Amino acid sequence: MGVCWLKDKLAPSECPSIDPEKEASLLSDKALRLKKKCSSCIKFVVDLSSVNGVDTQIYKETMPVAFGNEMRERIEQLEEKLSSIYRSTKVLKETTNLEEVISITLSLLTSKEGFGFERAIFLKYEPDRKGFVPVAVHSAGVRGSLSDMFISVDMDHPVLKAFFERRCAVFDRKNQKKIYELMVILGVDSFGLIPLWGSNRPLGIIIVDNPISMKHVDPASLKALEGLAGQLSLAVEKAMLYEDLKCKLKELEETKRQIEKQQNIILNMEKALAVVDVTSKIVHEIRNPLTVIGGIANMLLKKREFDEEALKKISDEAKRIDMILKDLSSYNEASHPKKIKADLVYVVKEAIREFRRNSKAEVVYKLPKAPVEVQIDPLHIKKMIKAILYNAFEAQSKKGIDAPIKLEMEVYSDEVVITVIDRGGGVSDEVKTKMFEPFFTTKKDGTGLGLSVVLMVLSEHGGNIEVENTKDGLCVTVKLPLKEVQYAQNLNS
Amino acid sequence: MPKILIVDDEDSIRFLYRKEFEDEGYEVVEASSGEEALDILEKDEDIDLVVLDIKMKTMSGLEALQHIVKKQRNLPVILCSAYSSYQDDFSSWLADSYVIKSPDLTELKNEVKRLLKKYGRD
Repeated sequence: MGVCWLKDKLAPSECPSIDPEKEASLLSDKALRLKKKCSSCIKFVVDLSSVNGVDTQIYKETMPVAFGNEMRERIEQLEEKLSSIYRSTKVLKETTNLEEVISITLSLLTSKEGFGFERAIFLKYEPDRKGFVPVAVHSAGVRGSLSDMFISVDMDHPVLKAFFERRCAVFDRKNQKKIYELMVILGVDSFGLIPLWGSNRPLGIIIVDNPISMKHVDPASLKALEGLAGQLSLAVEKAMLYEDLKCKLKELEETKRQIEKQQNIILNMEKALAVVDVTSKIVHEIRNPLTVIGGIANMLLKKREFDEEALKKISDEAKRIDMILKDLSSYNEASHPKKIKADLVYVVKEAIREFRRNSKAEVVYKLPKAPVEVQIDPLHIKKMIKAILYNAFEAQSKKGIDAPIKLEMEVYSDEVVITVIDRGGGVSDEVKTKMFEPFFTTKKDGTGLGLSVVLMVLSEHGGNIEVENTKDGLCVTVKLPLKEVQYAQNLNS
Repeated sequence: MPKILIVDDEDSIRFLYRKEFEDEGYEVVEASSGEEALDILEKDEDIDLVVLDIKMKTMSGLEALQHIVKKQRNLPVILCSAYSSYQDDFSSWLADSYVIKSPDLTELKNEVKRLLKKYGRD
């Protein structure tokens, strides 16, 4: 045919579209020349139109080149669109914030890389209002008040019909009289509807339209959205569930705060009641000996005679009050420890030494070899250990048992455990529940404060105490938490 | 001579009351627990009045009071305690009188006199 576009090589002057200085390579590259220049050249198009299918080879070579560009462009555009949709749906899958989900969705519908609608409106289903309320709009610059756009489920509305049928639909002013009001609010002649449904509940509606160009919504593009509607619904439902969960968590936290507040109030009331209870017990414990002291003194004054037995009673009761006040003071001091870093092994050893010296009782003990560094009030801990040892000794003495008291100290991963075992016959269940109460005692001359001081000391050190009967006595177990304890690694320190 | 039963687990209290009531011309019997008191009342029908402590180590005075009232309705009982709060306990209303322990025994002595007269046991 002798046409330029068939030649393998061209002279610079043979093609007016090629710049011989800048595009010299095109003169010798036929394929590239066809793609970049010939396909948009009017001469090429005219020549091709006269080809009558005779030279099919030419046809095969050139048609795809000429029209393939357009196809290729369209394919590229579609690829870009698909990529954009894919990216958006990927982000939607990971987003749990409802506002973000709605924003991404509407951006996807209105962006050029997405579906290219000029406006997209999200109406959320509000169960309390039994209808759809506009909550977000993305538009190409059209701004208006959409707050009037409430769609009630009770309305006889084609929009609702499509929604409940769970299908995307296009609405046209010409053939939809019942939606005239909606069209007026939107200011368009045509809009598309995308229903969003959760697993078993309505989520919302998306309305898409073109209020600038007033272009009709293409049913084909809405058809394409049907597949996406499922994914959008999933993302919206997930975000709504997250919101519900967040609300419930907030409610739970608030409930927890209220409960803690109430617990604090109850605790304070219990403390106050405990104070009242202890105070009343103190009054009782002191009133008895005072009655004796004052009563006998009055009696002696009246009789004006020397009564040695009576005077001894006064002396005994005065000592008793003194004992009560000393123990009360210990009880009070126990609630104000002065903690320092001390070796618990040394403190326990000292307690045992002092106890043995005063009671002449035997103690068999097992303690760790290395120091156990603790943040404690060593005096209080020593008093506590001595109180427990004295309790064990008195129980045995009452039964006439002369056996060594056992004491063992073990260090565990999170606590130190000290056990004291006696053979004094144990205690009843009733005594077990009351033995740490202030002024409870089974002893004739006891103040009933010894073990309550033990409990107070432990409480101030974050520890606790348990008592269990053994086959012939009592096992008292004291636990101190490890956070106050460090087991020294260096045995030589 | 009216016979008074003093029930208190504190021996110093019993000592004081014995001295004071014997000075008043009463015969005094002592019990150191509720159980002992019921035992004495079972065996001795000549007790004219009971002075009963409430807070005792084994049986409480209120429990003992219920037993006493069941067996002997006409036996006057004075509850005598270092606690003032037991007056609000309705089971203490079974007693004829409630006296708070004090170094001044005037009120207790007056109540003893009054009740012995009321019950014709003076």
